[in-house]
Amino acid sequence: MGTPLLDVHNLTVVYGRTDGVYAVRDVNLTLHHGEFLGLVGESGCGKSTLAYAIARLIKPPAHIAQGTVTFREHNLLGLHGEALRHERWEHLAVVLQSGMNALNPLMTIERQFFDVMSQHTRWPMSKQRERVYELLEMVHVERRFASCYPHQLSGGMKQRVAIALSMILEPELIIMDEPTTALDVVVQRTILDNLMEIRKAREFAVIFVSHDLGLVLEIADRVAVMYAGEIVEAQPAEQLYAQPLHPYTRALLKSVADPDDIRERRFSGLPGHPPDLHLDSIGPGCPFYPRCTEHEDRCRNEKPTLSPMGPESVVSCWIRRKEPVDA
Amino acid sequence: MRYLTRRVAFLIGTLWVALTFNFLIPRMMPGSPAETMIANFHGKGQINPNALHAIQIMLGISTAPLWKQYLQYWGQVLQFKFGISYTYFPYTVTHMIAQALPYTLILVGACTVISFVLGTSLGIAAAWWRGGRFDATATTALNFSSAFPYFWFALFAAYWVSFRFHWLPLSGAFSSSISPMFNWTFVSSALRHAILPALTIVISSMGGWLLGMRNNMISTLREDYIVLAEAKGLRASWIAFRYAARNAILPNITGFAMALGFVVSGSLVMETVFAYPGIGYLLVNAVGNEDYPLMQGVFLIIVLAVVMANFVVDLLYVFIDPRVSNEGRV
Amino acid sequence: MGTTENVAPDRRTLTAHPVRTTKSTRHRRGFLAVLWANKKSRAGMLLLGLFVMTALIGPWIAPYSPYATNYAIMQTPTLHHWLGTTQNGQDVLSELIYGTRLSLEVTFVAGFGATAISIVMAFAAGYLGRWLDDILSFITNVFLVIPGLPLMVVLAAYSPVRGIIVIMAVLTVTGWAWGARVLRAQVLALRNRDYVIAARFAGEAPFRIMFREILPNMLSLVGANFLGASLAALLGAASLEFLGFGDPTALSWGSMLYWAQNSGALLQGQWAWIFAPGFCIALLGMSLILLNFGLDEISNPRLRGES
Ligand SMILES: Nc1ncnc2c1ncn2[C@@H]1O[C@H](COP(=O)(O)OP(=O)(O)O)[C@@H](O)[C@H]1O
Ligand SMILES: [Mg+2]
Repeated sequence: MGTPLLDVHNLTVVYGRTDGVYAVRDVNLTLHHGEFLGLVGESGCGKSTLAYAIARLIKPPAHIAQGTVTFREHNLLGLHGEALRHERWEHLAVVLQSGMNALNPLMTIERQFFDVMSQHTRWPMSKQRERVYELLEMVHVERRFASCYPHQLSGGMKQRVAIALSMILEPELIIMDEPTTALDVVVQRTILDNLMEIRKAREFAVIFVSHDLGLVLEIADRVAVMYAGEIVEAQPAEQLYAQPLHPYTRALLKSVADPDDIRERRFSGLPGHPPDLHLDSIGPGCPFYPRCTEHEDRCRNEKPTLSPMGPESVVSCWIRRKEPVDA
Repeated sequence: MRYLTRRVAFLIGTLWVALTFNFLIPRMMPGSPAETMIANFHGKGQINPNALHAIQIMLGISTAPLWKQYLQYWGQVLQFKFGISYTYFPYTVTHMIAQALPYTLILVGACTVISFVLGTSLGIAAAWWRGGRFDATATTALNFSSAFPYFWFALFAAYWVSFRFHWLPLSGAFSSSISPMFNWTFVSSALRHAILPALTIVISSMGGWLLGMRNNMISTLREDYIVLAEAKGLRASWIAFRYAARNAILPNITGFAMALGFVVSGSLVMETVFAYPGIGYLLVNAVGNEDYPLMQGVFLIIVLAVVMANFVVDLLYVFIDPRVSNEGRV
Repeated sequence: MGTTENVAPDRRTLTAHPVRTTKSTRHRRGFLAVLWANKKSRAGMLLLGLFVMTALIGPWIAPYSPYATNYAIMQTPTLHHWLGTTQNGQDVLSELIYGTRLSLEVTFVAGFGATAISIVMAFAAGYLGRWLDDILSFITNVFLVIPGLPLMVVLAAYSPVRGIIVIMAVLTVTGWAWGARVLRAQVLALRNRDYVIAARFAGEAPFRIMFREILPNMLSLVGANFLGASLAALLGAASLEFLGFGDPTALSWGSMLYWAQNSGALLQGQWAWIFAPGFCIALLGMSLILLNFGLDEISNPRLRGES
């Protein structure tokens, strides 16, 4: 497999002071070149925070309390100034959750492409313009929209533009935070098809954040499931679908099967709410324990750690670790 | 197009309300100070019947039915005929306004622009380095300074700078030993007289712009497009100006437009403290001397200027903010 | 510094941002408790309390009667007259103490009046809505556009009587528009809240909904507006009186400044006579600003985390 493209080690992100909200806790994650990783979990479980932390976009009151992020074999968290500026977008791009607001309302679409190119490359204007058209074509947005302002585009188009924007400099990794959540199902479908089609043509890794497990299972190579700021399970997509390990994943899968739930974006298989992530409300045991249908005594007081269950799967659950895996 | 129609409607509506208001006030007040004033006019000398008529229409000394007075009033206003000043007999109100206007426009206009530019730039800096030392000091100091009466500050400035140390002239727009002509002696004297009033205005009005810009900018910096700009690896200065400040300044533009309109009203207090012969001084004196025609004329000019300035900026907005002119999609 | 002529940008900084105020228990704990808990607003409360006390017990603590004219005129500060004497030989310090009452009255009566109009306009426009909203918003915008101080001056000039009542009325009439705009926006936001919609479907009367469901949830914004309007009234009254449009015989800080200026106090070295009333105005204004910091944190919890 070679060295991974991205290696996140023991990453913890806190909102506020040390007694604040622990939105990401001790997360370990690796990503290989060209891999499509889905990151799923209910909203509020820390997915965006993790994605932002990897992209170096964490701002006060949030801060990275511990951990390292190694990207392309160097320490991403240690980069500053020009080095960080060049790492961004040339190697690591993002598509934001609310893509609708990610475009500067006072700049035409093409200017928002040009400023990246003129600050990262020495391409002549003609080449820059060519590139804009090429990218817009790739995401199926007509050329004439290049000179429009964002408010003149529909939501779906804006999100396509945001995706096109992320690919200008052909980065090795694109982090997409719920890129299609705000769109209706049909538009969402066409954008994802488009994304898969683009990925066939060129190689880049993706971290795709979504609360929709069904959708992620369709498009991702590997899926990591987050709960209460932690990764509780990670497996290749087919394997996770065929044999989910964590009770939380099972509950999520069960609601995927129910068409009503998908339409209304809820999880009927899973009563209750995700826990509060304040330091003083985190108990000693498994964070999923209060909602878990399979728990035993140990789960209440002892916290399971993420442990390998097969060649490519990890889970953090006491129950599962006792069972033999029939792989 | 819809935007334009709405703006024109607002312009017309505001002018109509203000002018009607101006028409009604003298007619609604009990007793008739205006009539007493006209009686006193005759002590001053021969009064031109046309001018007398104008005054009567403007102030409502008439037995004609109200609607007829209203029409006549509009006729006068549209021709800028406000009658004769009582205080500055035999000069017309229009003449007096024309005399005072340049001083106010130049001094207060320049100050307004300077304080907007300075305040806005410092506001950008405070927001960009928010929480830093400059931000903390400037924000706190300016918040408190907004509690000080301007004239109080101006009085002390005049006392120390002019009276005690004689660095700058104490009052007036130019030295009393020269007459206003366009030559170097006059211009240099006018400049020397303008420095202190200008400084006091700029210092006192800059804070509002600074705090306003800082707050807008801080909320803009939380927007997704700023996060994305940062993720794009753009240079910090580009993000600060092209992404953040450019968006954050929009709400302040309206305030600036109003301030530009208010320029014509001069600064009543500043012009009084420094006896600066601008529009504000004229208005204060007119009121003090119960010079109703002059007062009415000045007030109308002031309102006209504010409303027009507002309208012009509303139009400019079309170029500043692409979202304004076209709401629909392509 | 409050030029009052450039009221627009200044007021903006003094008004709490209309933000999500949820139905929280915070309000039930009482404003005073919350304000007391914040360091800045506690300072503001203490400062304001000091002025209120002075206004109440002024006649007992003033060294002389402010009306007594039997001292040497135009004295600079001395041991007997800490702030000097006036052109009529009155004791400046006693005037200052006695004047507190009227200055406070004008400030808060006009501030209250303006806020009351703002609230009525905001509810009428934002809740009763439709064509009424169009008309009232237009009126509000007109008042926002017309320059404040010249309007005050003209209104004061046309008024058949001069006096403190006129000043209060003028300040009220010219001071409500900005608040009406801000509060209207908040009413519009709150009227679509679940609990308001629920109350509407439950058939509650509009007035009941306005006063029981909506108003309690925008109290901090109303409070911030009251403080802003009061500050504007304080400075506006001072300017009007300074320009000579008040009642010069009424004893207030503004009229003291008028007399001081007209007697050429500064030119005769009587800085204390000018300094003291202006400084009191500034201190009272500061107490309002400090109180507003506290309110701002209540209505805008985001600020709490950041500072
Ligand atoms: N600005 C903030 N201040 C305090 N807590 C926050 C802030 N933003 C997010 N959080 C908390 O961090 C947790 C994770 O949020 P987020 O990463 O946005 O979750 P997700 O993307 O999975 O929905 C949530 O519980 C939320 O309450
Ligand atoms: Mg999220």
